[in-house]
Amino acid sequence: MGSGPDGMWSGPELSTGGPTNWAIAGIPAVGPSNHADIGEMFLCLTGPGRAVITDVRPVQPVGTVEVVAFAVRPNPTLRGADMLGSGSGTLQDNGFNTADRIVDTQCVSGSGQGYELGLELTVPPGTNAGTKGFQIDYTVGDHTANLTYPVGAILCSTPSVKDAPCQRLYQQFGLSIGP
Amino acid sequence: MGSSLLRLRKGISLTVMACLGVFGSVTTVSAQPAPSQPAPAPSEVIASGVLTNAQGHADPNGEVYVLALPDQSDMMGRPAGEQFALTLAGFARTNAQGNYVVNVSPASLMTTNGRHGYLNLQVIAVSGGMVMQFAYSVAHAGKAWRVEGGANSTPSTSFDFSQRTVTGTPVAATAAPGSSAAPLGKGMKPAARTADASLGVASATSITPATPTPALQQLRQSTQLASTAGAIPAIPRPGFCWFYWGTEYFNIPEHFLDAETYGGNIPVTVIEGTNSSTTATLGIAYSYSGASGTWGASGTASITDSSTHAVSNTFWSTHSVYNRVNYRDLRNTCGGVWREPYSFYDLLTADGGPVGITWQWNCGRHTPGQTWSSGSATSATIGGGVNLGVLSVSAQQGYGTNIQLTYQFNVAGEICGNNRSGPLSSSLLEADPF
Repeated sequence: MGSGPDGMWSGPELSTGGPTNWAIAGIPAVGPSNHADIGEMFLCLTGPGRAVITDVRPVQPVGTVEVVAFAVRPNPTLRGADMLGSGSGTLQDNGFNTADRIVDTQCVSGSGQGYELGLELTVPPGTNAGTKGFQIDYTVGDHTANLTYPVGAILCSTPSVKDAPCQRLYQQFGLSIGP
Repeated sequence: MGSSLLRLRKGISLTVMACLGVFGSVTTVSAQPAPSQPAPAPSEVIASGVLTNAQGHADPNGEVYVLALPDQSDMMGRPAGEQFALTLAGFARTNAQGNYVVNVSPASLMTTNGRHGYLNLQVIAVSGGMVMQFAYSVAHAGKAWRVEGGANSTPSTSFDFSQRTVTGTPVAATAAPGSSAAPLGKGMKPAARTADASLGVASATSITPATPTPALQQLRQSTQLASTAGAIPAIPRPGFCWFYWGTEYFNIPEHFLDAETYGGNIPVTVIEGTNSSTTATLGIAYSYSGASGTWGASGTASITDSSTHAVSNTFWSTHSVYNRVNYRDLRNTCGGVWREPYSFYDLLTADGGPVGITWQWNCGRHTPGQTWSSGSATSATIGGGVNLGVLSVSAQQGYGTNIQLTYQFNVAGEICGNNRSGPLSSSLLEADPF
């Protein structure tokens, strides 16, 4: 593991474990006192090793999306439990320990062996914001890298995602939530 | 339409054979010396099988040619009647037991003919002056060619000239005696400009012309097999194998996905078309161009469009979703016809209806009031639609780039998928309350 003769990194990299659909969660009533949480972000390593997630940040957000906390947990589906799709509260409320930020499982196609990354998010009071993905910064030994995960969030301070300001944000992301 | 529009493209017709690339190697399963051809490495089996002659015996003098169609995007831009060249991927002679194997190196062939990750192939078998053919698509996975269309297995195609049948992966087709000029197999319905709801074109066609076509003979001569093939009857003047567009079929209903949601409280909105934030393709043969918008045929070209062209529909229970698609025949002057999706007639048509749900078990939970949107058609069941003929199943992923599904959780519920890594990694999804 490490750098090759040409200086290129030859060690393990953080991975989604295979093809991943783009998805975006829409969450209403988000604010400083009601954080949003999203999960389902499956992670594993392309080889033996240990990656430490150091930061997670929105990619090209519309408005201000604040990542309050992030953490990983072993993939719940392997024990018959559900992943965190989307919810509210803290990550601890949703079964994560924010001290857990290490991914050390090698990807095995179709096995589900790996971790679920959860994010706790918020927006400034009274605002709406969104992003189509998140950049995950990590280290493997002395090597630093990042992975962009195609999972986004639309965070609205309005009581309902169907309220006009939130609907306009959906439209900015090319989405419609129907009647 | 049809053969009456057959015409040669100036400047190409006289040079095509000189440009005919040979990517494969001749496999020496025969006891006879193989023609001198470089064997690229690594090469892998792209076609194999058995030839049975008209007398019902293994043919030790059979010939097999594997031809690759141009890449999908190169084909879709062609107007009806215009001809274009194919590529000789490889060829082989049978051994004493009638077996043949054609090995082809993936690298250069995929670069030229498989830029979208798969190859559309035509295999031509010659036995005692009779010709049969078969078509299928392959992708290169790992270090092997795999047949696409559900089989995902090593290409295997056996030709029985006594029974006039072809047995191949993924489907078998029965041959009908044909004429020498692009005859049709039984699976084709050539009526022009008719809505054919039963369109189910097999991915195989098979013909048995009384004599090899001039184009085929030119092909054989280019591979040097003709000079050692033995009892092949007199052949007309040399010609070329060409493809050209033929009959068009309009307004064919196509079931392309099921939007699956259970219980009536998690409606799913299906959005099709393009929008201001999406650079996208839709379907295999769809493009949208021009300020006012017209359905084109440039296939997988990436496009950016305005939201005014997107259409949506909301379903409160599991429902099949249809489009209407236009098709046209792709004909080969060496014989054979494939029916190709050409453009969309309409989107989100009223052809669908309630269907059963397919339960999945790898779930993510969502609380009331939230939404979950996927920007990929793979978030629902794809399949059960029209057979895409020679085009591969993987080509259907073209739908994925600008179909969006949004689930509205009016009650607490979950999105569940068929992959243990979770819904985002799943090809099949459903939504249900818990």
